Amino acid sequence: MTPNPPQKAIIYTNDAPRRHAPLATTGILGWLRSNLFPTWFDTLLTIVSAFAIIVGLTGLIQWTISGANWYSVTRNLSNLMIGSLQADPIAVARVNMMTLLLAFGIGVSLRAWSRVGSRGWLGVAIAALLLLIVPIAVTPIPLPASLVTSGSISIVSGSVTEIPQNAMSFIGAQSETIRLRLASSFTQTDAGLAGVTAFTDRAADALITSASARLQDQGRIEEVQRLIESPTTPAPDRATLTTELDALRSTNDLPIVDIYALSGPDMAVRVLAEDGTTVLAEAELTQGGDEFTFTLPESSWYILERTVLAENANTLLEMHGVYPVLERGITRTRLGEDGNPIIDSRSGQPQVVSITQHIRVTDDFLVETAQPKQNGVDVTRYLFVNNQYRGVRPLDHFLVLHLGPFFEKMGRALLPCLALVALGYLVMHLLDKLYPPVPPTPKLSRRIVFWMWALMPIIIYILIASTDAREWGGLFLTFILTAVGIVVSFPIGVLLALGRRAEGLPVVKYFCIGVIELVRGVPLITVLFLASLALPLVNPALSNVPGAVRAMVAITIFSAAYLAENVRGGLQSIPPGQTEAAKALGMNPPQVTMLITLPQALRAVIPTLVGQCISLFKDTSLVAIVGLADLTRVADTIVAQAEYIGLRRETYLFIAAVYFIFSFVMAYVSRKIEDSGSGVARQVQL
Amino acid sequence: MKTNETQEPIIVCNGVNKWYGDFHVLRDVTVNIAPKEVVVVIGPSGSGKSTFIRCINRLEEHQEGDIIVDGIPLGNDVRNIAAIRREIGMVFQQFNLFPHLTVLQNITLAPMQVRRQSRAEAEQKAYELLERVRIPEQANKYPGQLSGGQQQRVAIARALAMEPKIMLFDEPTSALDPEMIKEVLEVMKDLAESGMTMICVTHEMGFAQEVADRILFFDQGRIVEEGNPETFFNLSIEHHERTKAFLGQIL
Repeated sequence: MTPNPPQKAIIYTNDAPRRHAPLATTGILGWLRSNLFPTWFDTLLTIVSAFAIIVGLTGLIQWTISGANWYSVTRNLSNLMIGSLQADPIAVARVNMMTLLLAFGIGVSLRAWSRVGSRGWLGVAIAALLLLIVPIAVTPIPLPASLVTSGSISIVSGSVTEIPQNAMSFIGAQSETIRLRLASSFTQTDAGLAGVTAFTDRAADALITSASARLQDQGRIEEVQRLIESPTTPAPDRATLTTELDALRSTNDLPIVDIYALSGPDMAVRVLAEDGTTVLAEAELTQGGDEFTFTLPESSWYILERTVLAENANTLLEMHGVYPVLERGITRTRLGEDGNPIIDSRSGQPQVVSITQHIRVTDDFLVETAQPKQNGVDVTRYLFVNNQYRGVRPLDHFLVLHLGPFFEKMGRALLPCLALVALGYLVMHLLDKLYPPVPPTPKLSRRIVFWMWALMPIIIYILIASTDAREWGGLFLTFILTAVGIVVSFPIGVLLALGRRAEGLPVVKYFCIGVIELVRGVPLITVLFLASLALPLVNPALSNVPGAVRAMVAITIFSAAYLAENVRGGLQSIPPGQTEAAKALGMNPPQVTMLITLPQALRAVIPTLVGQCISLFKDTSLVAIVGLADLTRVADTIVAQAEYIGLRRETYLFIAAVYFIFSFVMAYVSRKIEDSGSGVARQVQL
Repeated sequence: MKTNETQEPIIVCNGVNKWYGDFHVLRDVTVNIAPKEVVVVIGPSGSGKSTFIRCINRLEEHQEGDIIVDGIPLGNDVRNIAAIRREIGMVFQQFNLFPHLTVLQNITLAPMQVRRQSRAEAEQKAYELLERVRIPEQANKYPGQLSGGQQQRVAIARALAMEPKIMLFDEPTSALDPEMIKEVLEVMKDLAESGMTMICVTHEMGFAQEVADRILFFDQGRIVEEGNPETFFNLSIEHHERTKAFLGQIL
């Protein structure tokens, strides 16, 4: 280094050239390096958590495809969405109209407040396409077979003894073809029998269960034998093992297929009409012989009679086109001859009739006529055993049985909504193009949005007020409770927050503190109980108020107290200089609050407020305890029905997904509001 | 100079006393300020200078003595406070712009809400003022998007929009980078030349020397010395010992 010449500044002229950042520090590589593998400890965490996620997800997906039974969801979508309202077509129409209106409103707001980029539209298009295409794409996939057993030997599986049925009733649509043949491919070995993936009746189910049990026993026999022969096994253990071996052997001397003589005999089948006597078709099926096909002449009940043509033998029949039948009870308004509801003269309410519907599990085909009888006795219908498809379900069966119907139903509900969102967006886009904004006035779409959302509650109120609040249920009820809770509690909460800060008005201040602390000191469930049970004690007239309305009041009060505290936090975060500046400009206290502090405070607490909305949305599930049929409660009642026994996991997983999706959307919108700069971001000064 | 001894003072402070709890922060402050006079208040921190000017528009409450602004006595009468605040504009050290409003909205809010001006009228005035503080192009930005110097100039424009007779400046340049101080001081200088009555608390001695008609030196809640800049900054004449110590520190 040369010594500095005295009294002279050092001037650097060799400008270092600007270069790109090193490759390993930018792009995907840089991101991976700095976020996933910066240190050995982070690397370890990354690997461990990736492993946990992969294991968890693959397990879930595997179960979803091959094990889970989604009938409880796909068959109850409208029940989960609107509860008992589904029985009233007028109410359904009103709720549909409300939903479409909201969808339109969302489209309008999207255009007014943000931009949907090409990626957004691509996402919408893909979603719509999936909803359209998946149901169509899965139709060529053949449905799984149905296996039923008939014969004269009772089937013992564990503690269960099943007597094979020789007649069963099923439903089918006009011009559908049923195909029957002896299930020779499954009846050669026990392993073949245990590997069945199909719908079954009780007897076949027991047969398959005992086959797999026997295979298990056989495996155990081999293992025990190996242990006994092993020289390292101690003598006392060997004695126990020998006893076990004897026990196993004594019960399992023959393969299951031989015990029930499955592979031997031929079978005669007859298809009878609903009346139980008219024979529509008959055939004799032989092992390895031709298929018997029959085209159903009308949509109705049919009876399938099976006779095994041998003494002391059972036969497994493989059927295509015949599927288990579920039973569902609904109530419906009774219509007079003029097509209008008949009003009961005593109660003034429309008369209702209870109807039993029978629905095929594989699709929505249903009949409302009673089960057929023979000799005055019901012919047992083809039951859905344990609500389970038997065996490990392959992917194609998952697609055709569950995914297709689910997408079809979701599509029917969501496609119109998506279309209206797009329509709303498009209309506003055109309006903004036609009437470009003059700088000081905001865009036309923004002004429209303001009035639209101001009017929306009124329109929705008009739409749904005439429906019976006692019948509200499902996600609809959850939404109403949440929306009313948020909308009504907001002004109350803000007033409470302002009141609590009113230093000059001690009476108001302590009243507000009292209300806030009282409500916050009590669990929501208690407030709900008070509203639903204790209120009628105060004034008997209040017992006529529907439970849903009482729950709304409780939720509103509860939410207002918490909201007040959040808003107060926001008010406290506003620097005193803001108030001073406003005062110095001559504004009076109400102006200072309404124009300066409150708008800033609310923006500052948007994340907290949205968080509160989300928890309120989920907290509404507590109304189930006071007897309201919200989403959670509907799920409860579904899994309590005989036809969906054992389907708790699937049902609750589905409603968890519903709660999650809406909560996520709320959180996403809140993030967008923050990012857009109308939130706290604008408070950055200096 | 502009000071006119025969003219009625626009601000009269007579024996003003104020306490924070038991701490005596203003002690018998007595001063008259004439219309169009530019008064610079200096003094060490904690000497009560900010408190003093904040008393003039009642952001702080004085407990004893009289403050009369433009003939209106300042007391607990809400109407008087409102009337006085309409006469006085104030600029703060931390700008205190409203971050949720655009520059234009910041300026037009008070004229529309307090003076009941129409939007068109208020906006026209706002554009004129932005022109005057030399940032007409920032009208539709938010305060967070401006530099400190620009924000402070917006704050000045906002105060001027109410067409005050008096402007109070509470250390308007203390929160600014050196490069930005100049642009704010220039606006203030223009304002002084246009004949605005101004009270400035500042540490900018150059500004005081150049623009002030009178300098008040505060120490421990009292005015210990006052005079015009020529005499105040002249170390060769006799001064209060606190003034000497202060000037010795800064000059």
